[in-house]
Parts: sequence; structure tokens; C-alpha cells
Amino acid sequence: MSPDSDISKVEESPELSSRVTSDESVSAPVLLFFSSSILWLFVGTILGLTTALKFSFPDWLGSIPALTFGRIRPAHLNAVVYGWSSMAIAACYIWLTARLCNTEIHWRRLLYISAILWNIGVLYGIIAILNGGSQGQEWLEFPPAAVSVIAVAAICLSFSILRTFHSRRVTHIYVSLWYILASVVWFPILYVIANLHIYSGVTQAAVNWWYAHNLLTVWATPAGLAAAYYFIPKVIGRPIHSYYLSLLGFWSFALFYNWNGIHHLVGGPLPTWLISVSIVASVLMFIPVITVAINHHLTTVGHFDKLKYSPTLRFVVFGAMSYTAVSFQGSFEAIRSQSEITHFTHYTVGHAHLGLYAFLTMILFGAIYYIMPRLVKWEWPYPVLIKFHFWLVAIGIILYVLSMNVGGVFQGLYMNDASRPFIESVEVTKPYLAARSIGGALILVGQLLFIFLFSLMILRKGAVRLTPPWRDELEAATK
Amino acid sequence: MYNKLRFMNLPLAALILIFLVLLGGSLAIGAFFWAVRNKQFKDLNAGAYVIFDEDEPIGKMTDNVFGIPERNHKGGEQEG
Repeated sequence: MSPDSDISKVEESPELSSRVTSDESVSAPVLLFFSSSILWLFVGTILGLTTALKFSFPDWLGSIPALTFGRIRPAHLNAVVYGWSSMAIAACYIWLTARLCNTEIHWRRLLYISAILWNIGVLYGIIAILNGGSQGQEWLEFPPAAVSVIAVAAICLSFSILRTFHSRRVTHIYVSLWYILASVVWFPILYVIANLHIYSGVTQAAVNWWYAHNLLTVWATPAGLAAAYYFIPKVIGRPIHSYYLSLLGFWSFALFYNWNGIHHLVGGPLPTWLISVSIVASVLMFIPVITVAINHHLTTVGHFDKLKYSPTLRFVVFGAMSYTAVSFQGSFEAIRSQSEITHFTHYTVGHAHLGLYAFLTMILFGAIYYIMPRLVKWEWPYPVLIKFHFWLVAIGIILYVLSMNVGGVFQGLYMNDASRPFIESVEVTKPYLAARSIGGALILVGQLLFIFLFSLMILRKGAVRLTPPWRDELEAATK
Repeated sequence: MYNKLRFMNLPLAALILIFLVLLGGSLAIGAFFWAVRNKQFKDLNAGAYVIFDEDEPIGKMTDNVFGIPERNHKGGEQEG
């Protein structure tokens, strides 16, 4: 992976050479992060689908303690959040930072250490959960040993990215880079503070949800938006509609989003003012969300035909639209009158998947489709399978979210109706839970195609294809 | 143990967290003012163009795994 020999040959074109330099310098760590994340995606999806099927077949695998619902569900959550999403986010951050700083990545060894530690931490944590060693707090189930390892991995990542930023060769900080910088500064701090074992009682619950929501604030959402702000204009070949709005969106996002967490405890035994502040902040989120929605829509409008030609654009635009949907849904969910019905129902599960799958995961898929050819110098084989991947996961997640949202509303209404016995609120969700499992199965099949394609890319197997936009780069780098 | 050390009736852990929050807040405000002084908000329109260059100019699609559009552009898009 020595980029130097190739770079000297492309000096005729400074921009081209700098892009090739950036891409080549990050190639090994990014591939390591992406490959690991995709393994965890597979593990996490299997765990998730098993969890979903248990709603329809409660006795299935019930005799094996490690595979009971109470263990396999948090194992699913942690595998997809800390395994798949986090490592894919790390890879995107590394690649985007090198490109947007117009330089090579610095302190590359730290990135290898980070990827290895991250895998060890998640593996240990998942095994601990399946063995019954969960900490019992949602999103914070990992035992302290796993947390310490992942925290060190996250700090290594942050140092490498901040060091690269320090050596940037650009004067203007592009909006994506703002999101990445905020994210790598705050994620390790948040992760460590929330995992300290110094809270108890109601405080622990408050910290728990302050953390779980802020993981979206400082990690999942900035990653998705940073990628969308780069890939939508870059793939279409058209600058963001309003750069002013994008920065207004970033700073209002930074100001409002971190107050949102306590809306998870509406109706809980917390001081009312604390919950009210959180609800107000949740509604204020309309400002950054609308700026992002306007910007992404007006950048894409008139170019929707280009979705036909670019897998990246398809996935990223789907994700960007889901971002608007999930954010609107979230703001309404925080309001007390809706919370009375949908809180503590399957509705919330649908909302979580709308955010972490339809928004974040779809954008990460799009990013992988763009980044991989530029790292391995190989074009995606079998485009038709990419189309199948897109449609299977898109239909799967839409089915998932709709069935959970509709089923959740019925469940909530039935639970609020004192004249109905509780069991009716369970019975009413059955068809929706079955539909959810079908959605999950479609997602699994789509992802298996994706894993197959990704493996071909790593091995550089499959039909030889060259498409223009990066063919020049390829030729320049291998001349 | 740490609960024995108190200031204004707050346990040490709370003091550390308050300190961290203030530190984090000032970091964010500091970053904002640095950005203003660094003229990051000077010419906002130009910022949108930094991801394009001569090799990947405005008007050029950069991902065509599924093929190339026949008309590369609809009218009125050459605003760069």
C-alpha cells in the first residue's frame, strides 16, 4: 500500500493527484473498517431477524439461555450500532476527512489499532451480553472491559482525524467537515461519561437516555449528513443549493439536538421542567431538519433522472429523505399528546429503524458504493445485483417501519383503553409483527447480495468494467 | 468515597460533569468564534464549490455504475 510510486506520475494534474493521494493514503484502514463493519452487519441482522421471529414463535430457541429474547435483542442492538454503524462511520470519516482536507491521512497506525480494538471490544461485548453479562441499560449494555477497549479505539480514530485536519491544505472548511470534526471531538467524551459507573436511580435513567439520544446527535446523524452533503452534490455534479442554509443547519443542529434525550422519559419520574426543556428542543429540531431537507431536495430537483445511473445517489437520496421523515416523526413523538399513545409501544422500534436503517445505513451503503471502486481500483461487478440490493432493502425497511408504526399506534390505543383487557393490545400487533419479520427477511436477502458484491470487490473478481468518472483516475494512477 | 467531598452541596462527580459541560460549551463557542475570525463565513456561496475541480467539474456526474445519461444535463444548470 505504498502510494508514493503512483503519485509521482500524476503530477500533471494537481487536483487529480491530490484526490488519488488522499484515496490511496486511506485505502488500507478504510478497507479494514468497512470489511469489519460488514461482518457485524451480517451478525447483527441475523440476531435482529431472530429477535423479530421470536414475536411470532415465542418458544423458538427459548431453551438455550444465550438465545433467549432478553439477550439476543440487546446483542442485535449493540452489534448493529457499535459494530456495523460505528465502524462504517469511522471508515467514511477517514475517507471524507482526507478528501476534504486535500491531504493524506495522518497517524495511519492509530487507525489500524483503532479498527482492531473496535472489533475486539464489540466481539467481547456481544459475547458478554449473550452470556448474561449485560449492564441492563439500553445502548449501554456492554460490560466495562468492552467499553474501555472501544473508548480507546474511538480516541485513536479522533486523534488521527484531528491530526489530519491540522495539516489540511484547504482554507475553507466544507460543511461535511464541520459535522465530522464535531463528531470526533464529542463521541469519545460522550461515550466515556455515559459509561462511568457513578450514577444511580433516576439520574441513571436520565444519563441513559441523554446518552442514547446523543449517540445519534454526535455520531449517527453527523455521519449521515456529512456523507449526504458530500455525495449528493458530488455525484450529481452540482453544488449544494444553499450553502448558507447548510451552515445554519449545522450550527442550529449543534445548539438544539443535544437537549433532546430526555424526551425518551416523557411520563417518567423526572422533574417536569427537564422533560419540557427536552420537548421544546425536540420541536426546535424542525429548524435544522428543514434546512437540510430544503437543501438536499433543491440540490437534487431536476436531476432525479440521475438516480437511474448511480447506486450511490439512489441510496443517499433514499437516506436523505428518510432523515426528513425520521426527524419529523421524532419531533412529534416527543410531544406529550402523541407520546401518551405511542410511547412504550412498537412505534418506537419502527422509529429507531427509520433512523438507523432507512437513514443512516442506506447512506452508508451509498458511501460504500462510491468509495470502494476508488480504493480497490475496480468497478462494481454485476450492477443488476446492486439494483436488487437496493430494492430489497428499500422495500424491506419501508415494510418494517410502516408495520411497526401502524401496529404501535393500535397497541398504544388498546393499552390506553381501560375497558380492554391487556392481552388485546398484544393480540392486535400480531399481523404487524409478522409483516415486520417479512421486512427483516427482505433486508437480510438484500444484504447477502451486498456482502457477495463487497467480497468480489475486495478480491477484485467479477466482470472487468470501467466507467468514465473514475476511469481517468485509475489510468492516471496506474500509468 | 467521592460523595464525601462536597462543594455547594454537590457531589464531586457532579462537579466534574459540570466542569466538563462548561469546558465543552466553551469549546463549541470557541470553535464558532474561531470560524468567524478565520473568515469561514465570509463568502458562503464559494464554499459550496470546494468539492469540485478541473477533473471533476460542475456538470459532471461522478458515479455511473448503471450507465451514463444520454443528456448529461438538463438546461440551465451551468451556474458555476
